[in-house]
Amino acid sequence: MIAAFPSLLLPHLWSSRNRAARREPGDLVRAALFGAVGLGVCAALFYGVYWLTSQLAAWDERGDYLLRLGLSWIFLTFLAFSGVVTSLSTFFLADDLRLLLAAPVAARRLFHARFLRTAVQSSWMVVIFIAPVLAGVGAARSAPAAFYLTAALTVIPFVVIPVAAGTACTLLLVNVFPARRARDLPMLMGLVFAGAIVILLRFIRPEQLLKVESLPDVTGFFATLQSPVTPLLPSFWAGESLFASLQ
Amino acid sequence: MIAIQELAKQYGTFTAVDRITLEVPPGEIHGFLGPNGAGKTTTLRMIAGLLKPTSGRVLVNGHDMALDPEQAKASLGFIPDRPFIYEKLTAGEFLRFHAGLYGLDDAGVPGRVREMLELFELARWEHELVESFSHGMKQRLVMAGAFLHRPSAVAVDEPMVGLDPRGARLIKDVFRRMSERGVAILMSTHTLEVAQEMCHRISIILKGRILAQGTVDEVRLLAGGGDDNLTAVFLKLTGGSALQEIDEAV
Repeated sequence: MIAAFPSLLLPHLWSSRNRAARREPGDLVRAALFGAVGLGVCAALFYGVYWLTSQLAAWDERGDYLLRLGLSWIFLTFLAFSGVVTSLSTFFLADDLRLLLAAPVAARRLFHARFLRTAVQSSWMVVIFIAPVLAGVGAARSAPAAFYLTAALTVIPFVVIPVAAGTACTLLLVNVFPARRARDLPMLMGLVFAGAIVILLRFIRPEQLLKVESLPDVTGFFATLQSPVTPLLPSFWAGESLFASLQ
Repeated sequence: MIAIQELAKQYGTFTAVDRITLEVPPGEIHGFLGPNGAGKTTTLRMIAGLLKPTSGRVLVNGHDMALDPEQAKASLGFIPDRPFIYEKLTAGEFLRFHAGLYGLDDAGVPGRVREMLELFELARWEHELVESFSHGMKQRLVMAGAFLHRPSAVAVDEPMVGLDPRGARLIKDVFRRMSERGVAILMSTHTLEVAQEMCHRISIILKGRILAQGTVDEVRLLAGGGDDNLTAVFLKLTGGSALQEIDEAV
């Protein structure tokens, strides 16, 4: 009866340690290759966002507006979807569930351990790639140290909130769908996610931005992006916190 | 002791287990026999608390699995038909994690782990990753985990599958020793020779219902067979006698 739920994560920690300690031929080459690709992507993100943020500075208020929106949306969208898919795997399809459920482990402890694993598993990549994005914004705006501190503090709750929303969504779906169809859920969620993006894009009509004659409507376009639900989203609060600390 | 009372499991209109009652007292090895799809694994999973029964009760050493699952599970060792082991852990780490799951006292864990590894002839591989183990070694490691916390009842699903003769002999010996120490063992198996050789009593299940229960001799009498071996009795009871005739003709 493990008292603290993180103990249930020990096999994953020990497995990672063993994996790192017992290198096989080619591991170093693979690590170097993937590390280089990761660094390349991070560098590209940093310079891309740095350039974009610098360009937006020339747009005065509209640039600020777009920057706020961008900061708001990066947190929520991908993390929530990632949370749905990962929680399905960790809560329902994981191979070690039977081992743990057959042991005298309280359901609450098991849930906490699974949630922590879901949060880490679904967000580590997003967090890694958000870092150069935020660094790019900060560098382009010559942000004070408070911006980077806010960024670090904002990441934790705004990783947890979308993952919690995704997990809640999965728990709801699994209770509605027969357990045997659970493996089909990621595909279904992917379709719903893609469909939602298409509908959202059609709703906001981004092609309006390309028409010179519609320039007076650009403000309206941004307003469409922001309302009516955006201020209710945790990502919006995160974006606003970051934007405020940029000033 | 393992006791199940009027236990039933339904999936929609399909009845996988149909109000079965069974009791395995301390020190007894009870064979749970039946053809594929008879309801053995479903029953064992309900006993282990992995499946919620539609109706009925499961009691493990007096603890109701529905009302007091942690206490019931703490005194039960469960060995599933397809056990899971973390492949990137060493045998020692796997057992230490298991010890933590069952709340074993930290100070006693290293000694107990060593003892179980020696009992199941795995001591040489304590620091080796499980991924390098053969099927039989993994099976023995899972059993070491199941007996690690000194359970007073064990539910085991098809323990002999994939074991070589030496491994099978070892498992039989361990089960016998555990039963002599008062552990109640409920064991599902397809290997009728194993049941005949090891079990104090057997239950034969078909389509979710127990057809016969008792010692091998009692079940033989129930089937109306004089000197029939257990295979013949089993086939008579489960409607597979035609298959046996084909087998004999071939």
